[in-house]
Amino acid sequence: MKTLIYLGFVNSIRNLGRSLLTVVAMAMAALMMTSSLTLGEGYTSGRAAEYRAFLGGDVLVYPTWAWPTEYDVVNLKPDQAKLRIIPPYFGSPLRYFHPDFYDGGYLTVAPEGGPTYSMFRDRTAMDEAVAAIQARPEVAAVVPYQAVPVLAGELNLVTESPAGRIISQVSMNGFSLRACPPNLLGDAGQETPSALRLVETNPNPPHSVMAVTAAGQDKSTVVTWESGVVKSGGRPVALTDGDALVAMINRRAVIPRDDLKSKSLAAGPGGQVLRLTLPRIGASGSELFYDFSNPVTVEVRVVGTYDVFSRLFAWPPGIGAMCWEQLYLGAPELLMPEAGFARLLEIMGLPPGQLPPVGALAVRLQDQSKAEALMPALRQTVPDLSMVTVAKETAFANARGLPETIYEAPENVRYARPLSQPAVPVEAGNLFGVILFGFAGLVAAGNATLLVLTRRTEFAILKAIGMRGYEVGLVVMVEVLLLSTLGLLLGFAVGEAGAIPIILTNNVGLGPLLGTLERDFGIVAGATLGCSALFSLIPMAKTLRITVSEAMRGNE
Amino acid sequence: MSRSSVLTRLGNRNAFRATARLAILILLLASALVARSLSGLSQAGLCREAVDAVSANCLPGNANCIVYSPLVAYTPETLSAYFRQFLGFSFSNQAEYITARCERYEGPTGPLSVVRPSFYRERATRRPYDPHLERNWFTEISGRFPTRTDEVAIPVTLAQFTGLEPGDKLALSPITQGAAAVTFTITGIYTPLGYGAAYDYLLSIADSDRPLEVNLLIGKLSPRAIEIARSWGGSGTAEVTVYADPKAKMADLARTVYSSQSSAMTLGFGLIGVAVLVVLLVAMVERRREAAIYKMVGLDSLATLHVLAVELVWSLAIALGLATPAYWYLATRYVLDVHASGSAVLAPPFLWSLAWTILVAALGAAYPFALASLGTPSQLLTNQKIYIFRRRQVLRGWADVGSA
Repeated sequence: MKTLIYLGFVNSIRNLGRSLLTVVAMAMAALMMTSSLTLGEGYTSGRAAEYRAFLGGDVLVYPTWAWPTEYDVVNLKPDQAKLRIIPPYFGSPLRYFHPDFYDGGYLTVAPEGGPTYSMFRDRTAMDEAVAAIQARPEVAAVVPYQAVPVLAGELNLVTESPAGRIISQVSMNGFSLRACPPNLLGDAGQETPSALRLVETNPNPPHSVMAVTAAGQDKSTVVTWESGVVKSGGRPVALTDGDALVAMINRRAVIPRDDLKSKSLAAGPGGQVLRLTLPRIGASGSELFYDFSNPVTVEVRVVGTYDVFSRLFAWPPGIGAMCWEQLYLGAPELLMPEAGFARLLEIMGLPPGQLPPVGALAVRLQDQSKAEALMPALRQTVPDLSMVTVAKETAFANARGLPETIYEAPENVRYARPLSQPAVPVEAGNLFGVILFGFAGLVAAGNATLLVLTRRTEFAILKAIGMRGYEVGLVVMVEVLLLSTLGLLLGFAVGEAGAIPIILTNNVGLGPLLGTLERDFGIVAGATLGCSALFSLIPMAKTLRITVSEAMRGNE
Repeated sequence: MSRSSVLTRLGNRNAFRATARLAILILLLASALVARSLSGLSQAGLCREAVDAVSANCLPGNANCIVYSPLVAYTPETLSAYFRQFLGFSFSNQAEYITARCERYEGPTGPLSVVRPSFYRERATRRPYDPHLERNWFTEISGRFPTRTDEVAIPVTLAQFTGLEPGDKLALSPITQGAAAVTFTITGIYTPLGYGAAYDYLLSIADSDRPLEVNLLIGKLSPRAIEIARSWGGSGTAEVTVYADPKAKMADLARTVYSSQSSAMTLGFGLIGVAVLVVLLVAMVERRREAAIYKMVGLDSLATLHVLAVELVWSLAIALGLATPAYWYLATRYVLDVHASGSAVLAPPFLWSLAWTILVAALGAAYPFALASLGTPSQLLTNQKIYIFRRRQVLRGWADVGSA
């Protein structure tokens, strides 16, 4: 047996070109399969952290059909899907990532039409959805994205100039008051990941920076500030504010970018008091709605400002250099502590225990590295709603030039795809895996068959000196399996190496990591070696047909 | 007998000599053809079903936008002239529009618009809208259509939400600050034509004592026309609400949902091409001596290629012969039953897949056939190098020159 294995090993080395082809084909198939398994599908802890911090979760749950799936489309009944336009006052992350839902419309199957007050029909529906999602062990928390529209109000800004202080006003029409996600509170608990907390950094970085890569500079040399939701003035709102009507406002939504150094909020001790006009919350039977004809005026104290430093837009200005522009999410939102927001809703007329205005649910996961792998199971918990990871949502929006405005980068590098309603593509990963393994198996079988055909004389000699047919076949099989094992190890190692940043940044423990690796390896090894063994039967059959006399006579 | 027919006859005989290889090739090509055609058919069916499921337009007729000018109202003649001047068409020949006088109020559910449909008609034209203009706004009405300017018909959604009924009074506050509230009498409850967009319109009639003026237009406008319409009454003053085409949106969604499956099927076809290449390469290696003999008896490269091509054509023809009834049976029994695609869509996926099969088979055969037809007898018999485009190749499989 040892001799046979040795022979197979020697044969695989003798024809390196052909062997390498088999190894590469198998490695590609193994790599594809490895990267479609649990670890490879994950995200690093820093992925889309700025957006996740602002939204308060890793996964967004939207009203139905914001992201339809294959099952939504397949199970569609005639006349069920209709085009809906969301009114501009509906507070939801949809307004940043899908502005065409507000202008042009999206197809949905919600019988009651597009959401106007809340994405849920009633409080029970909301509680059931939250409970169903929260019941998953992978979910850490579910934070409703609650926002109410501001109809009128003016914010005072101060301009410092040599002539003195000039006061100007900014209209609050179009802004929203939103319940601050727990991670952005000034006294957020220690369990909040640092990437999701308020960041203290230079709030006025340069509009853009350039690194001369040819001189050894890189991004870390020139980008000296941090990204995230940045504390840019005053103080953040906190749990200790209780139910006081206090808020912090997005500075980039009220002060033009060129005036940031000269203008600031006119704030006395304790902040600036804003008189805001809000719609009253009315009820028609069990249905709640905004009654704009009967508004409410409230006083909210703005105690601080924040900026959302979202992404860095990069472009090469020429050879050997790279530029970055810091982009900001200019979300027109005032963030209030949850208790204060609940009191505000009460003032607006919301009866106790009734449905708040919810535009989305932000789901925080225990482990961001499992985000994508978890999505099919999470979607099943609330089949009537749409669900998407923040990472995927922001990638979709960023590819369409959303949600930030780009100022500095030249027009010719701001390529953006046209706006479109997104959909969750059919899961074809397994199909790709089967196809790739079929491809790799055929390459292995073809190479092995060619090997047998070109070494007929050699195998005939082996038979002539007493080796049996199946033993010669075994030599061929050893060679195929050896090459496949090399491909398996190579592909698996490369696949998992790609997941190292995910493993490291998400603090996956060694035990669970080894367990996942073992399970992944078992699946990939089973598929790779099983496929190779199956396909090696073809060249083995060829070797069995070789007879000594024919091979020697044919001189082949 | 001509030279060509001799070669064809030789190819015919060769094709059926190696039955195992022929069977493998037929199996590969036929299964690829059937699988690709069926998946294309079911995907087309699914997409078509999804698109057909959206039958209602968002706005009446084929309209795609609502233009509302809050500041300026025109007479229909002036508006027509405006569009003719800037857009190059008049209402009459564009013929896809509805006009009205619109007044905005604050209502119990948010902003409400009282719409007074315009009865202006430039001249009798072919138009998609009902000549009884109020009929362009609703499908049915309970009660009656208003006959006075202080009467309104309200949409059924508003009636359900507020509990208002015909005969009730509805007091609305004008959006303009300080203006007195206006009270309307409800005469009917209507079901809007289209959905969504028109649900908050209160329908009334124009004041016959005043000159006819319009400040609301619902029509199908091109992107350029929409931009120009935004300037109705002054730069950027008009409110233009654009609605996507629901059917186009659904077609786009269905394509996105199935895009990954289509990619997988395309990759699958690539796999078939590689399989054909491997099978034919093995076959050519086995038949080196035969190819050398063809050359020795006087066949040139083209003639050798002719013989080999005939063999491949036989594989394709038999695969087609087997795949056609298999596809027809599976498609009519399993796919068309489930998806109401109709037999009219049966042929295109099959023909498209057939074209792909032929292309993939030809590409897969190119390399082994080129080696066999270009090689000289001595090259073929003694494993010498064969040159294709000045690159050294050996008919022993892949381009592993070092192993020669």
